[in-house]
Amino acid sequence: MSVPTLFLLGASHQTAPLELREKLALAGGKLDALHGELQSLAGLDEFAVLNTCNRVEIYGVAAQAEAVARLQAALCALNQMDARVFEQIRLELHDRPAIQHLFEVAAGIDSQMVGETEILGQVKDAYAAAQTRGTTGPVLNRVFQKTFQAAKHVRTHTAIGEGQISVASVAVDLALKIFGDLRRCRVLVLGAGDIGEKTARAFKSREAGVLLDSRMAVVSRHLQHAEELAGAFAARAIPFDQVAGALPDYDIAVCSMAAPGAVVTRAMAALAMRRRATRPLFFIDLAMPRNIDPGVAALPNVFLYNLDDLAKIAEENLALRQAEMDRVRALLAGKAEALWRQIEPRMGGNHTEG
Amino acid sequence: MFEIFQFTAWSAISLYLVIGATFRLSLLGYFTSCLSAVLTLVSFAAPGWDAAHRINAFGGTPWVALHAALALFSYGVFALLALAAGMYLLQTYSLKHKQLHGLFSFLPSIFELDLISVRLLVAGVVLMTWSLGIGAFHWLQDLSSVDTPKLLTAGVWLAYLLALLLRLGRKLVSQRLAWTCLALFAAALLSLGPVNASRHPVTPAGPPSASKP
Repeated sequence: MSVPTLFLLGASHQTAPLELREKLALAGGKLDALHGELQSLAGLDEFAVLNTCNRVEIYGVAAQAEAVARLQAALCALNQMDARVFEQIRLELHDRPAIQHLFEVAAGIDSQMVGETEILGQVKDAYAAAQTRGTTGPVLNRVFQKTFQAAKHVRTHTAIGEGQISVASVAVDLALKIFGDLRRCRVLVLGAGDIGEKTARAFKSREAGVLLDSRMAVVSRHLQHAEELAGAFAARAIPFDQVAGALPDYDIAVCSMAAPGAVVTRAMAALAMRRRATRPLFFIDLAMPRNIDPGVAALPNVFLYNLDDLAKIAEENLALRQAEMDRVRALLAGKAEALWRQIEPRMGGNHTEG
Repeated sequence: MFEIFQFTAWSAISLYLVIGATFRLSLLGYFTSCLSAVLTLVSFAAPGWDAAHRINAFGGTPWVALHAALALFSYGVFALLALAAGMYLLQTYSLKHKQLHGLFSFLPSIFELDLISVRLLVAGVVLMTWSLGIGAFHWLQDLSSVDTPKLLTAGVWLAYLLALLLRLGRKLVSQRLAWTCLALFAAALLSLGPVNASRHPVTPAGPPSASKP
């Protein structure tokens, strides 16, 4: 007679390359189809599906061990994936290790960007969806509730989420160190390229300039390009030859123009600072070759960070997070063990870890 | 001097309780505690500073006492200003040299520190102006009481007033303002020695009871 088991079955960026993850992804109506199929799967008492760009993981409680094999077959059939290929990328854990894995996923230490917070929201969404469909029960309810508590605990008590690890977020963090409140800061975007747009988007998401009439402006050698990007940010477009005149009105300048020489010279910055002596000016030079004369950094109340500077800070923050991983893992292992000791008697019988 | 240092230390702490809550500056509290501890330790360590001189520590009349109390309270404001200026310089150093971890990560933003500095400078100058105004009313009745230490205090006030006017006129800003505030506070502390000596002139050594009231 089989013993009920708490299990995890799936694949993630840790086990599968991008091409296979793409194939396994439950996009479009696939997720609904899988839910429908699993709800009628014999021996599967509870389940929840975590489907993100980096992982497809099904957490469940199976009354019979064979139910997990049937689930795997259903997943492969739905994605038209050869079972032998899936075997190579499969992640299957049972009982306490399955709980610990979920804890680690929710805490962000299993993510590509260690310590990122988005995954916790995705786990919450997966649980909410499962609850709505009525596919969770006493075991998964307890496991997920404890998962959220564990993730919150490690974020509060360790440095796993400290510091930004993307260039755009690091730039926003630095702006906060200079201005404190970005809602009264105007941002000037020089260049309509991808990295400049990402950084501008990061500033917009942090409400840069929302308390001002004219919060953001875009400059490009081609006014049409500037107008296109400006339209996306509800910003205004400024002709390239008016940069020097506009500079004093802006607190943050994000530069990513494809220009052979300096777009902002020391003389331009010095002139701007004469008109705004009491307010700092923050230059973010994301271009290669650089758009801003390095001599600008020597001016009082002017702060200049280039792509290397930002990348170095992001790497340092990432290293700090990675240094916390062992501590976080040990913390979560203790919590998973404690939870498993509570759940095991309900599962009926002695389990061996698999 | 014991009373002066104690009063300045406690003024700084009292002011921090208001400013720290308004601007949510917990690190300023740390620095204020450090400064107050140093001022208190110095006041205890200097032999003879806590010897009792007379009952009215801040002067013989209520007006002179108010003048002295306001002056010392303004020194408390300038102490906080010096701390805010120090934090400004640390934050500027951190951002210019890309050293963002450790203590630097807890510092408030450059903009907030500048805002606080200007407000403290205004508050300090206003308090000291009131103090000197009250003192001047008293001194005008007895011009012979105007001595070098009093002129030194007036000089400190004038220097702070000048710094304020230059800041409002955008002539003295950022790091230069911060260094000026630090230098002026050092000068203000040094001026306390002669001021105190003029209130308690050195008398020939005698039995210990001679200095008691």
